[in-house]
Amino acid sequence: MNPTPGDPIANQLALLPDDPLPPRAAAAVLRHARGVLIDEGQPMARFLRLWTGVLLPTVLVACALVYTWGAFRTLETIYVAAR
Amino acid sequence: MATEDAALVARLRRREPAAFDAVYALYQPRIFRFLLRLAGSRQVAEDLFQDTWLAAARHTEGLAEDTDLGAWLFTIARNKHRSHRRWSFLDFTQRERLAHEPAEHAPSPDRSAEARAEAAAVTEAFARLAPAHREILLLVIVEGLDTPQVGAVLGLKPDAIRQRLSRARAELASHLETENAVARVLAPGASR
Repeated sequence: MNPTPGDPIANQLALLPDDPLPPRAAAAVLRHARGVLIDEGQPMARFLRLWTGVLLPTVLVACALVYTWGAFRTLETIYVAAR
Repeated sequence: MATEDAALVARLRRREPAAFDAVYALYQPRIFRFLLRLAGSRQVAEDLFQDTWLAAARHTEGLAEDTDLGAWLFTIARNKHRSHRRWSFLDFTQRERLAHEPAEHAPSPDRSAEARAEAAAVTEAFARLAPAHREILLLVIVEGLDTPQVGAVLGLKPDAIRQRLSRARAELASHLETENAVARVLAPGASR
């Protein structure tokens, strides 16, 4: 699968632009990413991830189910009372 | 996977900043080069490069023990580029640009005029490839990823990789032929 040394397509692709990221920009990205790595490891960040990823969706789905069940119960009560 | 890679993965899972620095030093030039060539725009490549490393920093804890770091990072970069393309397509002002994906990189000025023209023709031909073909050519031929790594990045089986690579090579060869024909017509003295 890997190119052979005499591969004309590989030789052509070697001509594609290869401008590396300036060291200052590369260092800025690393600083930012490092910040995220450290912040996301904090207990509060973990709790927030758990809250937005699992707890909040569970609460919302539970509320929707309770609301739907309550609505059906009300409709049933009205229907039975009307008969 | 190399033992060194496994050790780095274990340290990344513990969110060790030094391990992240080591991974960054190892892979940042390749990831940036991949994005630059895939996106065909320096500004977009810089944005996607930052997004890639921020996503990597966010997801280190969830890494599997046997993660291949190279494949993992190229997968994130590729997904960022796909997502960028998808959203840009909804932006009407960018549709025209995306349809052609012009290559904005000028070849370096220290090359000879002929070499510059050749590099420009290759860049133009490459920019006209379908994104899936650009991805596979960059991963296999430029970055030298092996079949399991390419399979992990693109989500393809070996047969599909071989087929796509063969099509990509044929498409690039055809575009290069067109570019060379245009260059011959435009060359000084061509009409004589």
